[in-house]
Amino acid sequence: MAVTDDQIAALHAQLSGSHDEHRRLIAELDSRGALAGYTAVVTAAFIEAVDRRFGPHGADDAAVIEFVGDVRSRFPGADDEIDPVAAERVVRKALGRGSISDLDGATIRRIEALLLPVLVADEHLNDQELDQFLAAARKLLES
Amino acid sequence: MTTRIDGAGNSRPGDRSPSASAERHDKSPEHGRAERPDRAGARDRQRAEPRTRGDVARAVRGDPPIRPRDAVAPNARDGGNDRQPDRTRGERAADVKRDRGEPEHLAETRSRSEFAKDTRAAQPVRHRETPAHSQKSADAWPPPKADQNRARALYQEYLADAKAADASSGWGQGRNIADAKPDRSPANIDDLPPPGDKLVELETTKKSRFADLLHEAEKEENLDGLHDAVEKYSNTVQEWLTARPPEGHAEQPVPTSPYIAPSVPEHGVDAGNAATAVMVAGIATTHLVRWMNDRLKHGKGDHDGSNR
Repeated sequence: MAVTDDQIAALHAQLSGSHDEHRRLIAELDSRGALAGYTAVVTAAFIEAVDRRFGPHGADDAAVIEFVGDVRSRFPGADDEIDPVAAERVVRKALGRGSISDLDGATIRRIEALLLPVLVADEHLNDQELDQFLAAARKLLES
Repeated sequence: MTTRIDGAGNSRPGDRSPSASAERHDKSPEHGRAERPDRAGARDRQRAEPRTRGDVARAVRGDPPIRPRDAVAPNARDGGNDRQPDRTRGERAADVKRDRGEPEHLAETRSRSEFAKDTRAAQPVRHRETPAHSQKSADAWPPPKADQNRARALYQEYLADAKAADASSGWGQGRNIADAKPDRSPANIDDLPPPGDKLVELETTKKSRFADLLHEAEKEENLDGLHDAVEKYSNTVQEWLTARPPEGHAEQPVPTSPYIAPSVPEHGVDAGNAATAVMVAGIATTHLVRWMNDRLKHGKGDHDGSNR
């Protein structure tokens, strides 16, 4: 799958906390009709982040439930924004378990967009590590 | 079936005449043997019974006597009712041997022991695949002393070679190059990163997981409002992360040495301070003098009053 540098740059801006830059790049991608590819970048980064969080062999369901519950309780308003059952199913699907065929695409994209920055923030990555993280996601996209 | 024959010289059942007896002696295969008269008579009585009409006719006509089997055949072919009387199996077997020209005394079958004895005497027993001499040496136990000594010498030679090989290599069995015996098998890689083939498998699994998740996320081709959604989620997460630091406790700086308050530098006395000090000292002196005067006045008054 083809991925462009500006798609990676947009995600890099969001994950590094450059909110204005992120908004600008997203608007630019939308104007060029390249925003659909951005969702693929987010999905690849979500897989990479979940693997780093839960290990390459995947944790058990209890760890997934604990993570989702922690995110919902850690931030104000997160319990309203995140459906716990759907979020746990999406994370388990990213680990290769279960099925989310009954969830609509918008719900899946919403959960990915909300959980990915939290997963990366918990990793406390510096700039170099963030670049390596995005390089791994890009490799997964282009493989 | 019994046959009655009319006419001279013909015998009937139970006939014991000398002529009949002599005629039957001619047909008997055992003619020429010396027999006791009583036994011969008994046999003649038995042989007289089975005579058929054909036999009798031939005897009447003066034809040479024929053997009983030959006499039966024409009657059988003709389908006549004249049949040779039943004969015992032993008698029929004796007839067959007589036809073949075999001696009659062999008609009696040999017993199992006699057959085995004759077979062993005819040819020696040999093993089918193994020669007789090697079979004998392999079965022999204990083996001959020479074989034992030869096997023992070969084993001692093998041990000497094995020890020499170990000494020349410098390695003992089960020891590594550092002459240390590892406490676990080199094949045990539980605490090591996965090998190459496992890594390839993991990457393949990761790729398929990504493809599945992306397929589910993009299963609706209508992506209208995607920009607004992305921006909304981005704003939401931005608020979360700025309002509260990510996972973990807030950082509390811990000094490596006891806290010591910084010393206050001493300033010089300026004019304002000196004026203030003089003014304060003047006021204080004025109050002190006034207080002393009052004390003195009150002291004089009290003393005068007491003297009065």
